[in-house]
Amino acid sequence: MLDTVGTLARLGLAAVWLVSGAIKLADPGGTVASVKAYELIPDGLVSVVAGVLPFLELALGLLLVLGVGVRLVAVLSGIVLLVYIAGIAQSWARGLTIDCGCFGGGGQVAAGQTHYPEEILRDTGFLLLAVWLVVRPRTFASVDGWLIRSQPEPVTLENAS
Amino acid sequence: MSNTQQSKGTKRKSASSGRAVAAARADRDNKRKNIVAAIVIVVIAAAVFGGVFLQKQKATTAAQSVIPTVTVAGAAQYPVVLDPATATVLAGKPTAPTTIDAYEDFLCPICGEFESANFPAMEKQLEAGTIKVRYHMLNLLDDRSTPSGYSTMAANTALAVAAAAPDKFIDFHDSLFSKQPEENGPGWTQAQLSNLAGRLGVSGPAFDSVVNGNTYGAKIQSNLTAAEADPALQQQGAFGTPTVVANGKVVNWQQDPNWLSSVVPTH
Repeated sequence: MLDTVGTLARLGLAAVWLVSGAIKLADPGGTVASVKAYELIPDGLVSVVAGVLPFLELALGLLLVLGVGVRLVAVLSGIVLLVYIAGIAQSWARGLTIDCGCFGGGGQVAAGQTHYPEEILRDTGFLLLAVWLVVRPRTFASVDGWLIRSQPEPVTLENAS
Repeated sequence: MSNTQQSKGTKRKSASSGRAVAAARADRDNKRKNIVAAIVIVVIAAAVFGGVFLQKQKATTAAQSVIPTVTVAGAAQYPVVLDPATATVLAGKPTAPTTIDAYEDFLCPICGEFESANFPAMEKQLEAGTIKVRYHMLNLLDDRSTPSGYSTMAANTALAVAAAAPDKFIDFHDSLFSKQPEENGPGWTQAQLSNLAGRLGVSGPAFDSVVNGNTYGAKIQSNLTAAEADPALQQQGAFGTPTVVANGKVVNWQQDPNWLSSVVPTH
């Protein structure tokens, strides 16, 4: 049962990363605009960060789909999500009017068009998936399970006889 | 008796070998965990460095490319004059009855569409002496380049061309609209813009001083602010680029392909 929940969390988080990474990769200009809109990163680095994000997200998604190093990937996912949430929160606090650009879009929006609470809530939901996998990384159909847990538990002859 | 002892001995031996097997398996699992962790780190690092590398390569390719020149032969047939006070350029014969005001941004893709769709017809009327065109080069999209400010830099360079060699302004203007950089990209660098001017035959102290001093930067900005505040220039409640005004009225060039003939007086 818990393994089923874990598997759903793993595949759900994988889908989040793969979809958002693919959207960002398909629209490099939009990704640059979204990163820039946070007004956190110096101009010279914006395009570098925007160039890295899609690949980072796709890599996290790929590793989660395959179930390679689930706990470590979940920790990294959690860190990335915390950075995103902090970015959105600081925009809100500073009174910037931007779209988070989490799944495409992004950049400046009109004053009444921000959705900070929803965006933070959504990312917090994703963060919960990551936390589950950090606490309990065991899932079905993972490379981890195949490599590390596929062997039967060591059985001593004492028990066997 | 001896049987029992033997049996006990076997049991002890098996138990210890069981523990050894368990320990060996735990050891192997730990090794595999380390390998998995290493794979994760390698994949993530490859993604990050791959992203940086591709981005740098793209930037290098963009920085090395050369803006092709477009030359307009007929532009020699009418005067082109820079008005330094307003930072606008007026093209056309002084006797032309109709004045068209074009508010443009060199980064704006729709301005590029306007130019490619209308330039040949406008050029014909300029040469015929029926219209004058006043170019207001603005920086509406200054924040749509990374680093910001391509629009101002391009507009100031165009005005530098107009200051040093007014008759080359049309060539420079058309070259830059024929090969626009992508929005949100780095835009052309000052070196690339100056190189384009050079290949059009514009260089020298008059050009350099405007470029190096960003002479018209502030005026370009105040022109934009003024245009945004001007009710006569609003379309759908806001000012955008391009805005085309003929005889004081905004022209809907996108929906009316014959707008030019309707503002040019018939003989």
